[in-house]
Amino acid sequence: MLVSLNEIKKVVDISDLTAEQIAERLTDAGVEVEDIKVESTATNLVIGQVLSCENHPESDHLHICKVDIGTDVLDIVCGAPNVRKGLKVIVALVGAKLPGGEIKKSVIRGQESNGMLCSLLELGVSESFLTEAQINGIEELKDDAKVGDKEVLKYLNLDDKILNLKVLANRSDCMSLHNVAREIAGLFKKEIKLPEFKDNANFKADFVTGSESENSKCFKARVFKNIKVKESPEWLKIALRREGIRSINNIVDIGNYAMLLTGQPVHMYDLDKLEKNELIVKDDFECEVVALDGKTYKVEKGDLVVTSNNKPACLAGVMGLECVEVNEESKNIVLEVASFNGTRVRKTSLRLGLSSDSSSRFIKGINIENQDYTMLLISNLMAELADAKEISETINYDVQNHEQKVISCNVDFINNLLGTDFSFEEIKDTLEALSFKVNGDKDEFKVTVPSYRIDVEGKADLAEEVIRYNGFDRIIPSLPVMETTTGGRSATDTKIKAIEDYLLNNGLNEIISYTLLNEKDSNSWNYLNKFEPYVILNPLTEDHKYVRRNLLKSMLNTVEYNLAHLNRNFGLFEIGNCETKEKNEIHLAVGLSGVKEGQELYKSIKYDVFDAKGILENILHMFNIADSRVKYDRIEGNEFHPYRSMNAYLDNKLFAVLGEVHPSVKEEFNFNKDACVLMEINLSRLFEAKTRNNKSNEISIYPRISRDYAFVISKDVNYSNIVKEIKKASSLIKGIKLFDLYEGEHIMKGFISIALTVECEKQEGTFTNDEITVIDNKIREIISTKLGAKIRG
Amino acid sequence: MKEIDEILLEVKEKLKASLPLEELIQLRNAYLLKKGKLQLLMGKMKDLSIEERKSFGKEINDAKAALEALFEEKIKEKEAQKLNEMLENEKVDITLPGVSHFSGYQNPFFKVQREIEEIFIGMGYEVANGPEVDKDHYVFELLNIPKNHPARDMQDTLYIDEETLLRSHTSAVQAHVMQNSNGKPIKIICPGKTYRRDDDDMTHSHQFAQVEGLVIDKNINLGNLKSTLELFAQKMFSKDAKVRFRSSFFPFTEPSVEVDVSCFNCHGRGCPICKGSGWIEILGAGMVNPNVLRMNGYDPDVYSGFAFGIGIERVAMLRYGINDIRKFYQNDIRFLSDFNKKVED
Repeated sequence: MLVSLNEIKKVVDISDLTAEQIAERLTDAGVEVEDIKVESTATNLVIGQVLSCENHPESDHLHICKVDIGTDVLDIVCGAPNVRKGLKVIVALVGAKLPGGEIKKSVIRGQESNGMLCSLLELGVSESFLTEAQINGIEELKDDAKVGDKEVLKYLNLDDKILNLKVLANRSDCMSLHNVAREIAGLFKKEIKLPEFKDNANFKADFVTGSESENSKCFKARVFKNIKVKESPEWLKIALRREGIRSINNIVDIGNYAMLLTGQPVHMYDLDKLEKNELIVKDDFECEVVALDGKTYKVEKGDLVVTSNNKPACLAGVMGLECVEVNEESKNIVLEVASFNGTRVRKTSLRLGLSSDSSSRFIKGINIENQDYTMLLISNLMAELADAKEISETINYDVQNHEQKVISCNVDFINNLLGTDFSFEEIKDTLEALSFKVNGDKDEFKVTVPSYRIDVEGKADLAEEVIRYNGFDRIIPSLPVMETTTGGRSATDTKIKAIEDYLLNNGLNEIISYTLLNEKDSNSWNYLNKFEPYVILNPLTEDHKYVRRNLLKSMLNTVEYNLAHLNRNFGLFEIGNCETKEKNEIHLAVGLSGVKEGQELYKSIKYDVFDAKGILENILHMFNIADSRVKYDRIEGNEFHPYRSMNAYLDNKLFAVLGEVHPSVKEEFNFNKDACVLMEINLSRLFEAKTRNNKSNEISIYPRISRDYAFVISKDVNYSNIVKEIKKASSLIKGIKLFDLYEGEHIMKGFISIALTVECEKQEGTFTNDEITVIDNKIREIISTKLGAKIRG
Repeated sequence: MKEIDEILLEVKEKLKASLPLEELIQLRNAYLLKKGKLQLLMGKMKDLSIEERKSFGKEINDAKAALEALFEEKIKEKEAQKLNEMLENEKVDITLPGVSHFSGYQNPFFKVQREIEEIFIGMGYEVANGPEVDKDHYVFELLNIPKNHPARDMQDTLYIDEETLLRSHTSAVQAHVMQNSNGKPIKIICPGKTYRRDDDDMTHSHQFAQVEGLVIDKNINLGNLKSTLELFAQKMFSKDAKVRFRSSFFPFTEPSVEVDVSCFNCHGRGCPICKGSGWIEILGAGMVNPNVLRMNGYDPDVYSGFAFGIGIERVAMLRYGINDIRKFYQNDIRFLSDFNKKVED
């Protein structure tokens, strides 16, 4: 909302205040002034008169002028087509700063030029407020312009300061200049004098208004006969320009001006184009209409429509219709001052993608006590500016609740809510300055709310008025006093943090990526969660349309991004939600790329699927989940490497996938050189699993014995089977540890050499040689007979 | 006895040369073992008188001890020398880099989120969570933003269907928590991702995150909010941080305030970070709107509460001088590596 301080000056004396002071006070009190605008920033101007004007010998359009500026006569070269002898002009002197730059003494095609003759455009006035002639030529000043006058902006009425208000949803009242004036007057304890109007109605019109909709409870109208549609007077054009509105004609301008002053949107109809002498609001239309912008809109049931003889005449509160438009030929018009439900107007306006100064005011809410005032204001302007001779009395349909809002409050409530120590007198003074009426004492007082403050509904709102008026430094800071509680994280969050710490401390970097994906990405890498994805109804871009069900795709994209930027050899992880209609799950994704530090100094080893598996096993161990509860099988599909990837099942339920990325995917992403391993774990499933808490067990005081076995075995035998079988050799076997794998030279194709350590432990006594031999023989027998392997050495 | 002195002299002479360890041991054996030279002298004992035997025996033993000490010294010397040689052979270039036991970088987003959590946990707050895809009922209606209320225009929301949406603020968790608290006092924060229908640029992101705070009890006031946020700012930004309230509007709080923190960079003198004002806007807050209390089972005549919403990226951007919100979501390792200090001053 633009607020011209010139308009404010008409009703409040602010001569002792600067625009900056007003802006600061308003902002502190919650009516934010985003910036202070000036219509023109031009400096160093003077009014001059062209004494002579000759064509430039070297140019077909330039003129050489001698310009009288009162104290001097300047030679100025001017290219405007309308420059001529005798014309009074705006002269920008050498050194003048215009929006387009500084004016310098110059030589134009051999002719000295000491300044510039200006158009309003060059002073910074927007094109939309200027005529074609004003845009193409220099400004032609009227005879009353005084040669030598340096207060040019003042003479041109371009010296106003305009506050640019950011009106928040609660302060709809500030979309009226009168209400902003009230706010300023209140904040600075000044008096406000709004103009008063006599009722100049002089006949009773044969016209009916009404509403058949719950959503319009007021429709007032006046008929103006024999009006003259013409150009608006200069003062009105200027007033509108300062509010950013272009002048159309006197009738449209009167409507806009009245709305700006009062906040009440109004609409005008050409009486002779109405089918019947009536305007009735209805909400059960389904049809197409052509609005004032020339476009066709579809009306649906529920939309408020102003009708005449059951034919649409206006999209109520949003925009008028072409068929009943007031134009240059109009003679008799009907003025509408009505109330339309904001919620309803918002629905229509959003659906049609059509918003106007009217609709935004109805949506935020209007002051229903201001409608008769608006009517009188317009009637008077009609008489003054449109020569209206016949002005009807108000045709009044109004079933609104006009009861005044009264709030019962007490001093303690306000101080307890704010943490302040205001006295009743302070509170009373504040509220009265802001036009509330206060009756009662500190223990109970009744506050009558001014009708334009539709945002004030209860005691808390009154507290806000008190604090915003008196300043937040009146608050006495103190920490809350409450029963002591432990606080902290939920069990789930605590587990997540433990996993986060484990991964970070093992050198993986924690990342965050976008939840929303495009369709193609949304449909890839879904292994753990195959439910229907949520799809955004109103996406801003197709790239952010689907709520992700896995974190792998985003992880792959992050790996790709980093490789493309030559960041190599890294581990990444992300923990995030995967939400679908069926289930909300927390997932963990891991991405490993390139090489890791090896066991021996300065030896690098490529990441492979076992790095991911190791992380998975360690996480399981963090929750005391035994390896035996986890089963693995191969992944079908073409995203993971088919022989170096696996599904992992916890208690027979799929809970993780891991593996090396398929070479064809790596090729597509252009990082075939670097290893890439991905893993995703459904943490929610992990957290649901039964786990035992830590407990101290008896440990044997006798040392363990260990024996190493190396054997060559067919690759068809799984390692897990080998372990299972060897364990059967004795209940004293406490651990089997793999320490070498070898295939290649000296080993037959399809076979592998495995070396492992078997550890045994007894609770009672040390092992005898015999005992050891028995176990050793049993193990050898299992390896060679049951597993069909050949023991080496 | 002459022979003994000769032997001693002989040995001393031989040891003058630097013999290898093995030869030293051989030599020692040659003199000191059973058939060694000294031992052979013992054979002469039987020819001596008892008196003479006594002094001869003593002489021999003294010589033995002297020889042993001589050899011992030389052998030790040699052994030390040998060890030194061995150690020298194992010499490394101590300027070579260490073997990495790298601790990963944490996206500053999580660093800040965790730090905010820790600050409030320290003040006894519980950390609550809620769904990112939520119901209109919780995101708007229970927060005093009915359908088609103009306040909905304040944030452009991404909808799944008419009733379901991606939450546009973490305030939605307020409603969930209040609904589940059966009118008991509440002291929570809820960090989480939020979404708006926004184009991504340097300062806007369709995805961002907030930490919501909510305290409800009897006698909670705006002064409590101010102190709480000041304590937070002092932990988060600088020890001498101050907060300032400015009047604002949010449908779910009344009064509502914008909260500024005194600039941690210039301490209020004015600098580019605070655009010369000495203050930085960091969050929105206010006293829980009586309608919100009522709708969620709290009598506004008995209970009051405050709520605030902190932008995680905003705090991180201010603190670390990050100029583009998209950097959080790009996860360039060069960016992440700027945040490797685990515990900051």
